Amino acid sequence: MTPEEIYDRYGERMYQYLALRLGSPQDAEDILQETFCRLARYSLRWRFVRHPRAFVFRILRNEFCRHLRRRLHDPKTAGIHRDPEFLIDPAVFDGPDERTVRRVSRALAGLPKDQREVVILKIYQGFTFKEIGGICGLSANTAASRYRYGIAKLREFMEVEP
Amino acid sequence: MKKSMDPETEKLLESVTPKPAPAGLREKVLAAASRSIRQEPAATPLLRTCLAGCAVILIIVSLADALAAKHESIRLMAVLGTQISGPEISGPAEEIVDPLLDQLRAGRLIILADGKGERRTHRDLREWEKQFFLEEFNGN
Repeated sequence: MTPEEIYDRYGERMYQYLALRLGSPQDAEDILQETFCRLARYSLRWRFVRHPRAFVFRILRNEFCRHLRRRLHDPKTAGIHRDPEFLIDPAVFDGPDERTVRRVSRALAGLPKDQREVVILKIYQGFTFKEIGGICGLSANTAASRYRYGIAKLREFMEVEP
Repeated sequence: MKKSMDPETEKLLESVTPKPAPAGLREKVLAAASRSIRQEPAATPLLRTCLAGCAVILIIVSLADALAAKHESIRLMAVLGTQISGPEISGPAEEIVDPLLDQLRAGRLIILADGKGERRTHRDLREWEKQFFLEEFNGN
């Protein structure tokens, strides 16, 4: 698969995943670019890759984690906030109305990181729990239970702040 | 079809969708990827694998060569009945014969000479060896 084919198949969703995880379109673009550079350098034999989409997302997630590590150790950004994932900008969402968008983004931002990641991969990327397990390095059962806890917390949040 | 865990919450989450990628991102990303290939062609895993394979082949060839040399020297020692040492003969032999061949032949001739309990000159021994091989060849 050429970088063009990878982008045409998964590029849009990769960008959306990054934008949701980071809440910053600029950082999402940078990480996406880094990921494609890595994929291009690897010259992979795609016929040996059983689940290309999950594989691509695994590489994307690794690059995302590298970015977070760099950012946390960067003296320019380290003092601002320790966790760059702590906000989800409502600007990364399109929705029926602004109120719903704000509600959802605040609810997602209130989730623990590991649960939020599983919820994003399940709801907005349509992965199965097995694939999510492969991407995040978890078992399918752990992914399912994180999703269940995440959804429960989101429901509580929606009930408290209707 | 799998049953959803909380249809209401899931429906609410699905009602908002992430914004699409900005226009021009595709070109930007792909241009960066092609630049990366041009800049770092040596960093491909394929090349690394080839280099590792070549290194392994070199090691195998070196080991095989060392083993073959060891076996050959053992075989020679078995044929000659002693360890090959420097020539003990005197005379013009060193000047005439190639040093390596001379060393081998001399070792053999010394054994043959020692077997007879006497020291011979190199010319005598060559004559004797020629005769020996002629007899062997003719089956006498």
